[in-house]
Amino acid sequence: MEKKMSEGEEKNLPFSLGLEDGNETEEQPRRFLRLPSGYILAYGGENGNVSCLQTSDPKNDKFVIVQRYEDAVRCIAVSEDEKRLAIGFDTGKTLIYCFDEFVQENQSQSEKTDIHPYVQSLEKVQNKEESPVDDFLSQDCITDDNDLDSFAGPDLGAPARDMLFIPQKDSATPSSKTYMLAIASEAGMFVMNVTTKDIMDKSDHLLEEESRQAHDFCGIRGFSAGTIEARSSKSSGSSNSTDEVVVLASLAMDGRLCLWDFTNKKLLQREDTICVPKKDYGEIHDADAYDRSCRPIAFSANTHDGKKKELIISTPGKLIPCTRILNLTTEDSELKLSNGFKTKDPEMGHIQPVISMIYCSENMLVTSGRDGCVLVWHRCHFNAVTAKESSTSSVDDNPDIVWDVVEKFKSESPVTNLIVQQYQNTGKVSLFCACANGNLQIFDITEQFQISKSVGRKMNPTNKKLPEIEKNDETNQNDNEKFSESTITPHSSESSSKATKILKKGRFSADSDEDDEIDVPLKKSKNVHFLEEAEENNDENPDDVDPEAATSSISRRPEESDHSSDEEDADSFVDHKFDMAKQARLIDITTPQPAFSPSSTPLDLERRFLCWNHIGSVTLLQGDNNRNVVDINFADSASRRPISFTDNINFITGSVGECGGIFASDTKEDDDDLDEDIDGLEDFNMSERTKQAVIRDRKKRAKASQNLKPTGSSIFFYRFFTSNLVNRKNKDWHLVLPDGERVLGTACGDGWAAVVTR
Amino acid sequence: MDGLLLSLGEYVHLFHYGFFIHHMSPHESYQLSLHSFDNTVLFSSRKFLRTFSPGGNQNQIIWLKGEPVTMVGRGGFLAVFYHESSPLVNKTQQLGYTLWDMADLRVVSRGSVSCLSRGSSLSWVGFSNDLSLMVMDSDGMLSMLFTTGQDNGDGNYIWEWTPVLDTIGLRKSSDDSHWPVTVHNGKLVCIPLKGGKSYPDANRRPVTTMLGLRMPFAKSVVSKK
Repeated sequence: MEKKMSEGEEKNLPFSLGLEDGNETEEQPRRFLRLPSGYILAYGGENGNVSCLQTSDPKNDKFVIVQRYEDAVRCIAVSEDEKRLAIGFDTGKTLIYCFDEFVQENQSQSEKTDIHPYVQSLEKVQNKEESPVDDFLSQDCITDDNDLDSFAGPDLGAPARDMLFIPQKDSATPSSKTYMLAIASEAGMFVMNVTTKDIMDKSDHLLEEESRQAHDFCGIRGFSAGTIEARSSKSSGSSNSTDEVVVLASLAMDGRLCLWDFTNKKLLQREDTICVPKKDYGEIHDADAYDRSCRPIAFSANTHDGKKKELIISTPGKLIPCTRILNLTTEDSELKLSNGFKTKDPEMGHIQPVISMIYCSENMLVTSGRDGCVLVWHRCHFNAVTAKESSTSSVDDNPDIVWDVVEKFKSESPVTNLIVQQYQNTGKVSLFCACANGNLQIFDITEQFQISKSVGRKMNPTNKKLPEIEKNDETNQNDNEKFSESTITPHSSESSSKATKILKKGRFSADSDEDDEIDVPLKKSKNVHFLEEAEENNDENPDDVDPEAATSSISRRPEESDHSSDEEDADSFVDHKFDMAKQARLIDITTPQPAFSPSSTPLDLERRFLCWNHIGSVTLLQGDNNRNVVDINFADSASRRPISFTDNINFITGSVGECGGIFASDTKEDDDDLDEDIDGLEDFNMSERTKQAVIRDRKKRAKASQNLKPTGSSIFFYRFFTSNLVNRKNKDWHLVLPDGERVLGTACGDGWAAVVTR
Repeated sequence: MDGLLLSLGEYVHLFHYGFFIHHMSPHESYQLSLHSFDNTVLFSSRKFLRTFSPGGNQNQIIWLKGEPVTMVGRGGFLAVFYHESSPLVNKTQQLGYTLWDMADLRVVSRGSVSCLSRGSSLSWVGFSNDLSLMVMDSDGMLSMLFTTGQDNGDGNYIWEWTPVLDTIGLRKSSDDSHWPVTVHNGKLVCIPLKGGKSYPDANRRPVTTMLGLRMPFAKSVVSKK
């Protein structure tokens, strides 16, 4: 057991993103960017380094620096075809790379894919396989012949904050392809054509003036974009005619969100209220890393006919994500926007505001907060009975659909960006967390991801539609990977196998036992609720897979688990409430230490020290019938005689000071145990039912008489006779705190006494 | 009802024969209904510091910055320790403190309890006889709050924690520990515990010992010839 725990701890050990040259751990917004070809870039910090997850060599499993710049990198964007890559710096300068010669894997149809030119430095590491000098210690693999085709982008005049290539329609031919880049800076935002240097120079700054008006001349924190079906404006008579439009969400530094219809170059929505309460004063005014990490995210939610009718837009900044669902296809109004994030428990969420978010799927969201926690949320039905009825409704229209925290991770430093990595051949899903201090932490979310898939499947209306919807899910993921980092990009089998080795043999674990631990989720991942794995299973062992099982409800899971794995407790495959799994995992979280009194001994002892300090020691001897004895022995025993008095209110804490001793009891809770006072009725030869009735009546009367008596802790002050001014009769006092208020600590000094309560 | 009726904010107290009887305000009953949803434990969301005079008058009620952990007082000073945030992954508690001068309830110092060793928690707090605030963590490191004498720009002094005694080096075996009582004249008055015990037996009066404070200076490598 200890071994397993140590493995788990080791697995979550942070290691560097490779962005800092020295040991500086200044908190900066660290970010990820996934290239469509699968490479994960990391950037942020003051050194101008861009690192990439090196996945080709299991011995060099780390982020290695692939590019260095003189200025600090603040944002990177890449086009869908990876032929344009834009970088924004803290100086306001931008740089556009052109990789016109690069051909993506699916276009070349060749087995071996060329490495993307931007990360070609990785080849240096791969080539050094034969002579592994000290490269393991170095995270720098910059080549000197770094001659990439690039040109200077627009000078923003203020630190760049975010960039985004506007998604294009698939119908665009390579020759007619344009690259529209949305740029956010602390001076504002605009969209321009950066296809070539000449075109860029002639290009207008689209939406620049409109955004200034809408955002009250504020800087922009970040963007997100998505495509969505909208009612066609041309054929207003036909209600079924829709067009696909690109929606751009911009979050300003004052915390206001605006939605833009980029296709028609118009403002869709300017929110009346601020969604991120804490303002971002910008890098030039030394805003903290967390303010500068807040960006909106967008997720295209497919409906059952495969069209993207809803776009989920979420913003951080509060204790729970702030989510809206945009629908432009409704007939009654042109724009339908509804808030859709309801939690199962009102107190659920982060202790401090959310910094970053990521949608793993329609039913699974991961958030990171300033409190250093990373929460995994699942969308589920609050009332399972209504699940079936609500399955045909909109994404979050149904009030029974709520979000529930199913996993809680803790990072050493608050996480400023998240990205999810799925290893296609193993089914393992890892959550990469970029910590503000430059560390990388990786959490295994395979199980949560599978359950979320199952939940999504359960919410599908019919079994027949499942394959189609699965396909739509994949399409959806592909779409979203183009627009944001918030989706899972399946890697090629080659890269995923290498990446898996990293997780096994990297700094997470060096011994072979880790393999066993990894095998378990792999086995688990091949369950029939995960369609891809179900198909794989079908090939391998046709007897194990029931085609209907893939579409069955989650309640069938325990029987299946008996087939699949004995190691897995059936309770881990719970229904959508996930309570068991949640409780089991939360145990690993370090809990805040409980309140205590200095120099006291535990409560359950018959005789215990309540306090021992410079004044003396106070002991409490527990007696019968709630009559305890308190003894005060003074340190200065030569001049002060010991004091002893009776405690009939059950003190749990106490302290002595120069002027007296202050003692407090626990709160008075309602005692529903009817057997407690039954002793006095034994002689009356009553039946058990009559006794209970008598006791109930007695309690009722007692309660009525004490109706106005509060039930908080009782406080008793024993005043020392320090001068003749002290009235001997009324020197002590006693009071009761309001209902539910419990004393956790007491202290007493010269002329004062105090308690802290909760 | 021949008592003295006092009013303090929204609280109403009846002073009668030397006792206070506290009556709940309507606002408090509303709070009760809000916080009793779990039907098992009745918790208030309040994290108050309530101060009293020795005669029983209620003085200030102050919101604490976090969930209280412990408190200690001596002379005119009161120190309250509270949680600043969740503990770190390495189990280090994240605590803060506020030190008040109770004569006028003036905040003398406020900050983080940065003197907790990695992975440790707060185990004891106290004042020395010269009213220096002392804390000990679960690793046995005793630390003292002191002021650097520098002005931090807004008229207040800068306060820091300094280690003054590492009791681990004074243990004769790994099972031994020290149970602090107070700090007097530069010495920690404590009860030595043996055999893995973590607290003394109150049935018999334990014998105290005194350990001189010793800052963990590095040993000089220059040896005498």
